[in-house]
Amino acid sequence: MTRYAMVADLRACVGCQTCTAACKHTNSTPPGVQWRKVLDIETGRFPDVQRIFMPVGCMHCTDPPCLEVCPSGATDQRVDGIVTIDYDLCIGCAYCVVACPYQARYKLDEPKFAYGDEPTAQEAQRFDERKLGVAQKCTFCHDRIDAGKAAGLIPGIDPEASPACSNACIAHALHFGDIEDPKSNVSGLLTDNPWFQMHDHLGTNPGFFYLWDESKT
Amino acid sequence: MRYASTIQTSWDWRAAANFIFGGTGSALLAASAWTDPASAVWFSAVLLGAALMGGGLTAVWLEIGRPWRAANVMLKPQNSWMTREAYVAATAFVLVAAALPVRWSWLAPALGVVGLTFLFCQARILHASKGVPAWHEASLQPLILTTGLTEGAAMLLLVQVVVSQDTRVSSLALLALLPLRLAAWHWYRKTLLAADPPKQVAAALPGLGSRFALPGHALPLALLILGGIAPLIGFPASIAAAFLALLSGWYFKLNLVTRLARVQGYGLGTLKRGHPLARTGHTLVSEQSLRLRRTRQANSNTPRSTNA
Repeated sequence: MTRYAMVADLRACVGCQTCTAACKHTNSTPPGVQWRKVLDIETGRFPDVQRIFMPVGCMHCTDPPCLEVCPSGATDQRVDGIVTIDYDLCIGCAYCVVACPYQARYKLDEPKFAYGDEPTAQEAQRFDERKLGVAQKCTFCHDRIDAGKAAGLIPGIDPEASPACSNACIAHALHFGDIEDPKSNVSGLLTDNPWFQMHDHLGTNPGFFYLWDESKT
Repeated sequence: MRYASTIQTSWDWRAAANFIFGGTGSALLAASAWTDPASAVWFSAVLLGAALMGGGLTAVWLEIGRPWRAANVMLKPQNSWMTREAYVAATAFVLVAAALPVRWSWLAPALGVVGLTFLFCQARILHASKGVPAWHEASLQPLILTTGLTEGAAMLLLVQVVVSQDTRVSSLALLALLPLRLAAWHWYRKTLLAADPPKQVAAALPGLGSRFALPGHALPLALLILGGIAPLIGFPASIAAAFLALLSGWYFKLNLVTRLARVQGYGLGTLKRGHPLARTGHTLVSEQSLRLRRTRQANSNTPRSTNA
């Protein structure tokens, strides 16, 4: 079996937002919609404070609350754990948006372009009317994964079979792979480092793990 | 510690209208189950109840992004409380339509059960919203149920006033439900504060409580008791109490969907060690990891230096 997951090493992330830009370029998300973004947060109490850059987005949870609430069946989960949205089924009720504890879902009712009312050449080429009025979110670039696997490549190892954000990371902070493979890159990272999942008390069991340092908590 | 806990903007007054009118309408169906199905009160109440539920659902329909696909809402009864709510609403409308030509005696209890089920669905819809702590809080469910039932009893009293019927039973029902709703509110407030909600939510609760508890409970209770003691003012007092109970419930729900609806935000979690799929039983923690842990434990015994 395969269970794809993302591992973000918060000790390595420099907050450059290259993953954000790569995601926007790959998926052509409109202004205000960020399937992958990096938070700039501060923890601790003065003078013992830490600045952390934290990549966030859809956590592709094992028990996704968005899937549980979706009344149309538009939100689904593949056998490899990736949570998907069928834009042709979604009614745009936004129940999944309020059910997601990670603010990962967006709903845009009107077209939005980067420079005013007219789309740029790329925006015009990549515009997808099906995404209007429905929920949208990170897909873990499953089209790249599927195409890469079909070509005999390994997701998480071969860039052509991996999500755009992890490919673009300049600090080797974002890693993608199969956590059910004990020899995979992500299994190694999770075995050898302390990690946490965001909002684990909600029982969603996210497929997004953060590596962090015990001495900094 | 939470970061970036903003107010959700996906559901606005139109979603609130579903909880307001749907809650009142469904509870009115439930409350009217105790009236005579042959009476004008029952017929008026179920018509009004269905109209309120329909109004709430229409408001939601105006909010969804793809209104012409609205029928897809029926596709997931096995997991979504929204789908279940839609099925229950459809059942209610069919039963009310059946009551138009024929007054079968079983229609009153059947609609009562359907009304209660619809109200329960609404409570579960909010509870399933894990993204909003004020909605996911388990103690909100009894508050939604008691708020709806109080509104239903209040609305039934007003219907009885309009069709010139005796309002004593619905006044007594209101007298019993108001303390229950107040207790549910206090329990909700206590458990929500204990669950460490976003600080803006915690800050908004006392103000909301003072506006909800006093005019919405103490005042109508006083009016109902006063009306019981002095029969001369009983009729106007019960009408005023019903309006206060109704409007305060609506005020609470509007605030719940708009002002209290701050999202979870982001945060760090509790650190764990070992492969997530092997944390029980056989561990996959490597020798390198164990060495790292020993080094960190040794370092943690040394006081950390701070800037002077």
